[in-house]
Amino acid sequence: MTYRLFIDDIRVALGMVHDDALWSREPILMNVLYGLNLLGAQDLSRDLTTGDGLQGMHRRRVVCVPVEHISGCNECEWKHSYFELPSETYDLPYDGGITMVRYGKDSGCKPAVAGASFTITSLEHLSGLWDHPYQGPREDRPYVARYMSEDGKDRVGVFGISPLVKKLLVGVFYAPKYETVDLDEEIPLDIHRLHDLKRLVLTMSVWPLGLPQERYKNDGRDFEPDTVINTRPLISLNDPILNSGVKPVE
Amino acid sequence: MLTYAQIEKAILAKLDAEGSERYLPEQDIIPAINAAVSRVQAAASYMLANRKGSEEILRDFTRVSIFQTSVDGWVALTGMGHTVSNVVAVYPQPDLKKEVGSGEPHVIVGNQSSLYRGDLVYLGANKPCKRVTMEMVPVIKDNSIMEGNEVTAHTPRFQWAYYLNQGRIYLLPRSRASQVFCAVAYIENFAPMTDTSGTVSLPDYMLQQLATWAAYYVTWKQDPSAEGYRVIAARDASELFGFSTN
Repeated sequence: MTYRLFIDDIRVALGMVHDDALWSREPILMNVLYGLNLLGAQDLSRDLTTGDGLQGMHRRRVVCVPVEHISGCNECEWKHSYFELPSETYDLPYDGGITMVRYGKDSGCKPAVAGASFTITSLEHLSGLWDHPYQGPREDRPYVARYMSEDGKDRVGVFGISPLVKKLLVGVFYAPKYETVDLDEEIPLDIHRLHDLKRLVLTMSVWPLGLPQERYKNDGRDFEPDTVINTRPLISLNDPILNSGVKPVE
Repeated sequence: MLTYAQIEKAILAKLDAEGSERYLPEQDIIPAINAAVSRVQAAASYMLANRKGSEEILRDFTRVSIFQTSVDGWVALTGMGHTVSNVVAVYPQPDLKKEVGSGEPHVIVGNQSSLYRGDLVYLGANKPCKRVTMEMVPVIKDNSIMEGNEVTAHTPRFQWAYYLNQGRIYLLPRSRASQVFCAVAYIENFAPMTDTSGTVSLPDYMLQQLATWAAYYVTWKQDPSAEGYRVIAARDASELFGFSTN
């Protein structure tokens, strides 16, 4: 199902189908993404705890990224390469939103190390391993760690690889980005969870439907005296939608 | 379209004054008709401004004209041969065709200002265009969720909005609004009737309603307590549009 189809269904359900409607496609899309990312993180968390890796298939993307090399600065010899994250990612325990990094076909690496596996870690761990003879980063034993650059870029540092490597193959847990979502794309969600997503979005719609601007008079009055205010059903933190995907760690 | 003769006949019948000269056209009936028409107009504008009804109620009063926007993205509502009371809807980049001939592409005419394009016929709308207020414009400009913003203006997901100011329609986002076709649905500002050969551009089904109001205005002068005026004010809002004025 495409975003457009899903959103238009919600617009009809809410009666927001005229040109001056408070909720048009854009605000609904934003709310769809909120719900989608919530459900997406659930599916991926379940993958991590059960280990079968089958639930989050819609959210895995493999892309070829260009790699830049930093030769270190005056104070330290912290030589490494980096690439910038190609999309927003889910931040999950252990992996930092990256599912795998590998040398690709046109990476420019030596054939002897082409099959090396990249270990995803943190800068803190890497700092302790840096000069270790058996565990320190090397071309055939590369490491990957995320960090924010000084100019605020979301970077992924790659340690141990040759400066001649210009490209890498990266798998990320991809989260759709509002600015770049195409309404005609398929929603990256298992079809049996679309109902949960619709319910989440409709729950959030209580706000635009209950806002005072629909009630205000021109003189600033809001409610009439003795008006009975019906409270809206808000979703609970213990709602089954929010908990169904996660199993306890064994 | 209602003619003077039709309305006069209906008014005099209600007052049981057929054939008499108690009510004279220039002195009594034409001013009363104009008063009734102006209240229809006021009620319609009030309803749109307060969102107390649907544009559908005004469907029979609504006209559509085609314009091309100025280089700065606005439309001056002139050139149609009548003035505009209120704008019901705006549709940028509508489906159009030439009024005369066929197969010719409709092209933007080189013009700094906006232009009424009576040579084009409206076929249908393409994109919704939300009505906003002038005060909202700076808020809208950098809010990518709101219609008419500039953030998404050059992406496929950009959205239109418009606001009215000083008889002009300003389209948003402004960076997309320069020299585009634009269909405007509006309520005509009915010119006052001046003589007995005049007409009013209201639908035929409004004859009896209009005549009733005009009769109230005629007889108001005979009502020393001015009770009739209160009745008119309440009725023209509730009977025609089904809403309250308070």
